[in-house]
Amino acid sequence: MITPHHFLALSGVLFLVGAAGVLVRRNALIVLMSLEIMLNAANLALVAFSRMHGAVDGQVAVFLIMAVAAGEVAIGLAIIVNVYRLRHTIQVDALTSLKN
Amino acid sequence: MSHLGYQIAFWIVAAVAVLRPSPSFRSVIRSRARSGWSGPFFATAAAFLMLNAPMVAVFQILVYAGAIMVFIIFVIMLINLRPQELIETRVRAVRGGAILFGVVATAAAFIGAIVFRGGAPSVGASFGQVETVAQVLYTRYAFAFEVLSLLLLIAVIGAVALAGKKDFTKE
Repeated sequence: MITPHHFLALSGVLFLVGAAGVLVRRNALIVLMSLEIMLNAANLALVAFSRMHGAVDGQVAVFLIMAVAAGEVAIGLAIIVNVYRLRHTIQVDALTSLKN
Repeated sequence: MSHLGYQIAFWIVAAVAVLRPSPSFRSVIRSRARSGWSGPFFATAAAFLMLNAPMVAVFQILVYAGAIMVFIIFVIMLINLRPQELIETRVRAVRGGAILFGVVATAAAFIGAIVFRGGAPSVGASFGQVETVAQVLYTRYAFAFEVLSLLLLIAVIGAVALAGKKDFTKE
């Protein structure tokens, strides 16, 4: 039998997938997508808790997170486009001007 | 939905959500782009439906598959990457350990879910519908909602400011 706990476990695994993507991938666009997957995992956890307690507060929090995610993507993609114009690459390894 | 059907649906959703988000960049450039990258987002939307949150599920599809994915595909086309940019580069040193960690963590998570499972309260048909969620959103969380509108306004201004810069090389 599937309970909300299973969805919580799924959300944990999904968060790991996103975190691994952020750490391992070197393409800025895919890093951004992995960030979105992590936010999605948090949303799934909130909805699972909301179902577990029979209160819709968690679902309201999901709306707030979605709006933040949309704003983050808008700014993030604008930054990526500008970085590409400036450096002609979006590999995060190539962006080292703050390193030393 | 019957117990068995619900169970099968859950494992399909879980498989799509976890296994889908590893597209190579080449497949993104091809027309498979949206089906490949939207996989986890659609799977999460299905999970929301299964958790009696239909309104959140609809917004998930609208916002992620509709807005964010289109936006990302648009940027991929806009910056028009050359072929040498598309070569997949990953950190390979930690690969074995990462896969092992992933398998162990997945197993631990689901064993934990089975061991600590508790029944969820039964909810009425209105749970998660537009009216119920909106009532809480516009009363208890009205302030957060207003702050959010301010945040989106700032994001719009920031995006326009970033896009409006003329020439970086001459600064």
